[in-house]
Amino acid sequence: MKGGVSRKVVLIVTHMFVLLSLLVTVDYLIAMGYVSEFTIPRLERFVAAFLNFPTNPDIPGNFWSHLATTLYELGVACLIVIGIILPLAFVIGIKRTAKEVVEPVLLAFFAIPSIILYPAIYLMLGIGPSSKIALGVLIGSSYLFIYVLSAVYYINWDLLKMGRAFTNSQVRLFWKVGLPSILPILVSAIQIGVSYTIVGVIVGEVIASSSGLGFLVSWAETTIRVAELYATIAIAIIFSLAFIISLNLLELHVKGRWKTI
Amino acid sequence: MNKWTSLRSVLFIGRLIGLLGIFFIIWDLLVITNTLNEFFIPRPIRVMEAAFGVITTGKYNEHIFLTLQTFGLGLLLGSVFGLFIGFVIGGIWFLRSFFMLYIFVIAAIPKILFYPIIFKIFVQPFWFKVAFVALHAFIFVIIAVVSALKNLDASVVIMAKTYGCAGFRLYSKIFWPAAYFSLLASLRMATISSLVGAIVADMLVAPGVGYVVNQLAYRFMVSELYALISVVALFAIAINFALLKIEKWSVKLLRI
Repeated sequence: MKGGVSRKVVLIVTHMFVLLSLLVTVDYLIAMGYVSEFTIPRLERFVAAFLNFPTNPDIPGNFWSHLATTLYELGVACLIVIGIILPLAFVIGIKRTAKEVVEPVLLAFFAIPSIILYPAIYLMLGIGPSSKIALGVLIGSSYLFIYVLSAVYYINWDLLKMGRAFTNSQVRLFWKVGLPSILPILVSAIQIGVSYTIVGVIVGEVIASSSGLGFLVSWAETTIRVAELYATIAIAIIFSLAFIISLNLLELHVKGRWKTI
Repeated sequence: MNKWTSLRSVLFIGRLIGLLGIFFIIWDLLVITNTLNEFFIPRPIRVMEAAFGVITTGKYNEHIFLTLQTFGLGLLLGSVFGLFIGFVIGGIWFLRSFFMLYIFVIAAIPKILFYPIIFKIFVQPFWFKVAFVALHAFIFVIIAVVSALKNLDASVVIMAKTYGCAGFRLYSKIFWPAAYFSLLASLRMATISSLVGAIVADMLVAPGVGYVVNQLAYRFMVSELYALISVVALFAIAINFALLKIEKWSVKLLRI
């Protein structure tokens, strides 16, 4: 235990030391003119751009409306992936005939880079939120489907059979045996599906959109605002990581509370 | 056994063709009955005609070859770097504990957010695309190698060291076999991801297949758009199928 703690302390101190040294070195190289300010901004300019970004008058539109757009697209896409695609994948996974019919198409579809369909999607749905939602759902659900189809193999069917011997109530059987048995798989599937949904939404925003965090990255890049560009990237990264970390915490909570049967 | 395997393959392909047939019939019916607007979604026969035209005339060959070139080079460089750095980091406890955090963070973030930075560093479109594709491959390979070495039983390494196995021999006799299977699986994921990276890079910076697909959408040339999408999809399926075969063949050949 003591060794573990001291290892962690050493790691944290090293992380902080290396990151600070890296930042100072890069800043020094820019100050000396070895690295162009058009490539990487000075640290102080980046910090100022990052902190003042929400109130920056140069941004097209309002920063909070861009954030709201991304959140809306992501929220709707996640709702579709979790509420419709996940149960569908599960039903197909446990029904052998359905699985045998659908699996070849899904495996072939998984090999296709979904992003190639994006121009066809925005042609039909426009460059508004609906095309990003569609792309997010498309990318997220293909990974989710593959995961769920392979994960249902690990469900303990014997326990379900045994549960049936003890109760006639389907609801009770589902709550007491079925759900705890599949919950870790469900949470992992949600985690994978949502992670790729974020990718789909952000990619869609960067390539063709009129609002959202991805659009801001694209705007800062085309208008050569280096400090703002790095600030937007940092904001988008924090946004994505916050989403993924909260999913990880949910997974840990669920797996800790509902032990796999 | 072989007979059953080939029968299963035939059934698999048969199901695939059957489902595709049903899909095309439904698609055609929806367009004929005006449920789908032909201006945005053409009839399948029009797409097939356009696809035939794209293949025979070779009018987009230059873009297709360029995308394949950036994809191949990026995948190669990303995999080699991932393998090399993965073995270096994975073999040393401190480096592994230190760098894995950063690797997982980069893996979790949509890679497209790094495109302006990569573009500013590489400037030239071709090398930007290669670097962007390499990043996609690199992450999958390095995670596979480091995770495999992390899960390697420490007693195996200690035993090998007591028998005098050290340096390059430790890597070739212990670390390489330990990482081999997860590396094979990750290589297929890396390939799919790299192809996505190559097309996204084309969409961001001309020329390439992604750029052409975008242009066709802007000009409402829907038949050619779907035709080119179908050609790319067939390429991707063929690459995936070839990788699956290579995976099976190399497992048999090496018998690790």
